[in-house]
Amino acid sequence: MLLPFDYVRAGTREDAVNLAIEAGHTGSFLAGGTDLFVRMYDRQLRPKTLIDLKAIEGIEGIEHQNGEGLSIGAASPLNMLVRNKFIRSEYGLLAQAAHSVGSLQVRNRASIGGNICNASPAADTAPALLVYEAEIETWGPKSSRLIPISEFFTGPGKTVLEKGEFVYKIRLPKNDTQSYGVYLKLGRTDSVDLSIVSVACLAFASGEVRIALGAVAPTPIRAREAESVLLNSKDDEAIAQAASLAREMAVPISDIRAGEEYRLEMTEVMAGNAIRQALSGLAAIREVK
Amino acid sequence: MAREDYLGVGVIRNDAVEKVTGAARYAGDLKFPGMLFAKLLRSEYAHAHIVRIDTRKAQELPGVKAVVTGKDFPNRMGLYLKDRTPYAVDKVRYYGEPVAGVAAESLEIAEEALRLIEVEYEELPPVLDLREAIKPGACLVHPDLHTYEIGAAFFPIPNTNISNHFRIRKGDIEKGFAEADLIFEREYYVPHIQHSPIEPHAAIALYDRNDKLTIWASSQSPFAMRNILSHSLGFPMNKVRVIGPYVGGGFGGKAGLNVEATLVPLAMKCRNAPIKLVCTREEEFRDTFVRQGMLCRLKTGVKHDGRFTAQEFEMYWDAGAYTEYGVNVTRAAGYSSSGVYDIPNMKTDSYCVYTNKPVGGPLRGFGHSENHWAMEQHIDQIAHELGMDPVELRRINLQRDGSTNATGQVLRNPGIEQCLERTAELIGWQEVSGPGVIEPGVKKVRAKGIACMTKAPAMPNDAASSAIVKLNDDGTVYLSIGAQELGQGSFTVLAQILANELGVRYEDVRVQPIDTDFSAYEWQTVASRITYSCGRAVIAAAKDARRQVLGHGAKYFGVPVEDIDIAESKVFVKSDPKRSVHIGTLSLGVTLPDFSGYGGPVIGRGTFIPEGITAMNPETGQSEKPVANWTYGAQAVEIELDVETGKIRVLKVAAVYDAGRVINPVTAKTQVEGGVVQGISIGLLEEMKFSEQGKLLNPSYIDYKISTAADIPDELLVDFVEVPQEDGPYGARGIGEHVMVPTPPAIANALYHAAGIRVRTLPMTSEKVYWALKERASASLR
Repeated sequence: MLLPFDYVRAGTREDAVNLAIEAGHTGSFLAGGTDLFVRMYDRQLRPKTLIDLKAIEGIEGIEHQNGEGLSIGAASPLNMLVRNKFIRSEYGLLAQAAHSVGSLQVRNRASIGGNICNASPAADTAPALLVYEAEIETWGPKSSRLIPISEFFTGPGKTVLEKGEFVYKIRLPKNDTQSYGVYLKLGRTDSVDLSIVSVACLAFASGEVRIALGAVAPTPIRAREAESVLLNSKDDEAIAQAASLAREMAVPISDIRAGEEYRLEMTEVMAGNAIRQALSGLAAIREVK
Repeated sequence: MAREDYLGVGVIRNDAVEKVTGAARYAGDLKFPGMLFAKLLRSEYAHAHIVRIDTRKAQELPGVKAVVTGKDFPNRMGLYLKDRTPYAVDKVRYYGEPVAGVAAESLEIAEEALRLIEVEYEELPPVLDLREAIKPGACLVHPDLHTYEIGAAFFPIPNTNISNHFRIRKGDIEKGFAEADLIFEREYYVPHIQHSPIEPHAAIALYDRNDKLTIWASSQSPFAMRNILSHSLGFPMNKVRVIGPYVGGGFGGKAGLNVEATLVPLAMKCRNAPIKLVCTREEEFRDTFVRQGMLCRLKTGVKHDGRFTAQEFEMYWDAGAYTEYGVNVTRAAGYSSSGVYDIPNMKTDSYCVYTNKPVGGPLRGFGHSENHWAMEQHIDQIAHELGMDPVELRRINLQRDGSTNATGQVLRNPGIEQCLERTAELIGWQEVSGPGVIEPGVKKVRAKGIACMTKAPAMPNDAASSAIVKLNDDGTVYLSIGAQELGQGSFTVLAQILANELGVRYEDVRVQPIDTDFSAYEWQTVASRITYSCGRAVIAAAKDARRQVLGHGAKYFGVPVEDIDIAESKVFVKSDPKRSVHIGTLSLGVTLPDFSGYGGPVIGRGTFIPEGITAMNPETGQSEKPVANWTYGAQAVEIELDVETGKIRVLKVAAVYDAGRVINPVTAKTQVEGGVVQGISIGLLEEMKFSEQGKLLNPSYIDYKISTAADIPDELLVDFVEVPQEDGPYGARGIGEHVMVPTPPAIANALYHAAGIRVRTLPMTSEKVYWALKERASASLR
């Protein structure tokens, strides 16, 4: 049973900030609501005012201009990303990650902004945004900010967002060279599940390989030490070493979904597989072109 | 003359259009003027004395119409054992047990009122560990067990936590083990699981000015609910009425009387106001029935040639706070404890154990999924010990014509051999010997596994069915039954049977919604018994109606009754088929040429009760005919094991059941498919997890996982064997529950063939399989 709450719709970014200031600590921003309402039903959250952001111009939709990279409105539902041809071809790893969230029905509502603002260690789009080195454009009482995704998460359920500040857009820089990305998610079921471990790996024609891990630390993390091993060599030994370093960077917990030890083991296994798949995927597209 | 018009025909389900368009009404959809809303305050301790409950503040809240506690209705209720009250009286026995109930003008007010109820508890040590619960001197969940009313087929042990001890003593167990060349013993475990119906429990109760209690409920058991309510209320049966709209899935969880009971004291305090209760998903998980956990030890004696000489089987059921229904699960698992095998010497002890956990009850399979998890893995392990193919070892020990089962019953033509052979053929079985070995570097490995099963309807010996057939003057036919449509397709199959017997078009049959004031009696829609039992009643009712229509036809056409037939809703003269009349014309009787009347409206009646089932010997469990019938089946799976993660994917399933006679091949096939997917889900994913204080940790689908569409096997091959059931309709017998039973052990056996490992504790999660693989790998290095 939901507790009573007021619903207000912000027409502009300024409006949203003002409404949030007015509502104070009892206010909550609303985009898709797929996590928010579950928590409200469970009384984990008891907002008195919900400030709907979806009417703000530019907060929903996907833009890309040659040479400019990609800009995604924070309230864009995940299925919009999954179905976007440009994202599928140029930022395929993000489409894979978005597709792995929840069910079709959930993805019709759930927004990418919500997925990162909840700051779940297991948020599926986060490892993808980490390897694309996305920037988070926010609006708040003080100003607008551009926050690198690597600095956005501070702990489980925690971000650097301040009171009254919301995510407006997510910007992904242009890929300078060809790349191929893979998102691997280990869940209990093959759909509608949370990650036990997830790994994003993005391999560039320049030789750079980026790796991010989900569900194995208080926040989604980049595994930079693992990446650096692959700068010089990409043979089996180097991949194995990178996977092992990824495991070393993981600090998972034991919970109802899996034990700490199993998560550690799976981090190594899946990091290795993700690297191999990303490298062979890259090799395949380079051959074609 | 046996008609075959609608037998073996995959007609479209008669509830299809209503359900796919969303027009079908379920209990939760119903609304009445002046309706109140109920909410329940639930215990936050697994085991505690209730020292004090203060409901005054809640009662004073505007909009609250009634607040009740255990003291308002202390009568004990139950199907087989009266051990349960709608609200806890003096003590709570599981985390979630109702302590108080509120009826209010809105759900919001009802919830607010719950927060105003003060309860003071004095904690008691919770009985959560099955092994501790059975020890002498254990803390008792029900110290007054010996005073409870209980059915004659059950044997509680006073001053213990054991509410039923079922025994099989067949042959000479000591001699049997002495004759064995090899004795094989293992332990197995199944955890608590949930039914997961798409529709949660929902009910509306009204106590009216005529002192009549009416309940609209999502229920598999309108008549059993009426019966239990009447017996515990002390009300005459005619003062209790249960109305059953469509049920959105039951799987056993909506059998008997359950959450509906909590509405009764509220309704009695709010006379003339309907009160509605819809379970939240969290309540559905914890506070309806759950499937009890089971720990067992299975010991088998076997000759070198593979013949079983003896079996000792101890089952301990983690049956929860109340076992009013659960006692019969433990009994059923006991009397079926030979499985599909002919074992000359047997000793089985099945103990129903009270614990401070949610209430155990019926769940599809009714004890058989649990005992077959043990038996069907066990036989595979024995086969490998003997260096024999698991299918071959099964062949050696299968029940055949003249074999006896655990109860000593002599079996006639059990269909298991045909099921096993056909299953092996469908899956492409090739002889296996010994454990699978994973070669270094291999990441995915495939293997096959097989398992058999048998189950009988677990019901009282006199569980009866009835049917009423009414012919309307537009030619449509109303079929009134008390059997419920739970999604399994019984309304469709029963309409087919009626159309077939009476000679009307299937499309013209309307199955009436269930209302105990008007519908023909049915015990319960459980035990896979509706096609079998209600099907017979429908045949009898249709024959009765047909006899009347033929008589009307003879009078109408002025020919002997032998010269009249009915087909496709037309009554015609056999010797001159051009002379025909629509059946509707004769439905209310015949108007003769002189304008006088004859006959009258056509109403057929039919009943069925299985005959000759006798009580089992209380000491030995032996009986010549302990149950109505046995349905046999076999399943095989092909799995792909991800060696790196431990994840099992079921690629292919072959399932063959002896349905006796398939009446609707489409609903029969879909029933098997659904059962297989549920079996995969139980095998790989499902488990209720409890904290050390007995609190359920995963009462939602976030962390209680069930198979999704993405987890369904690529290939699902279904076939049927048809060895007729002597007293079944056209030879049919039930398959509804059976189809989920052998899947988990078949997967377990495939896992062994893939990787040489066994996980004897369900579910076979990726994590458990992974560590078993690791252990095996390190053992092979040593």
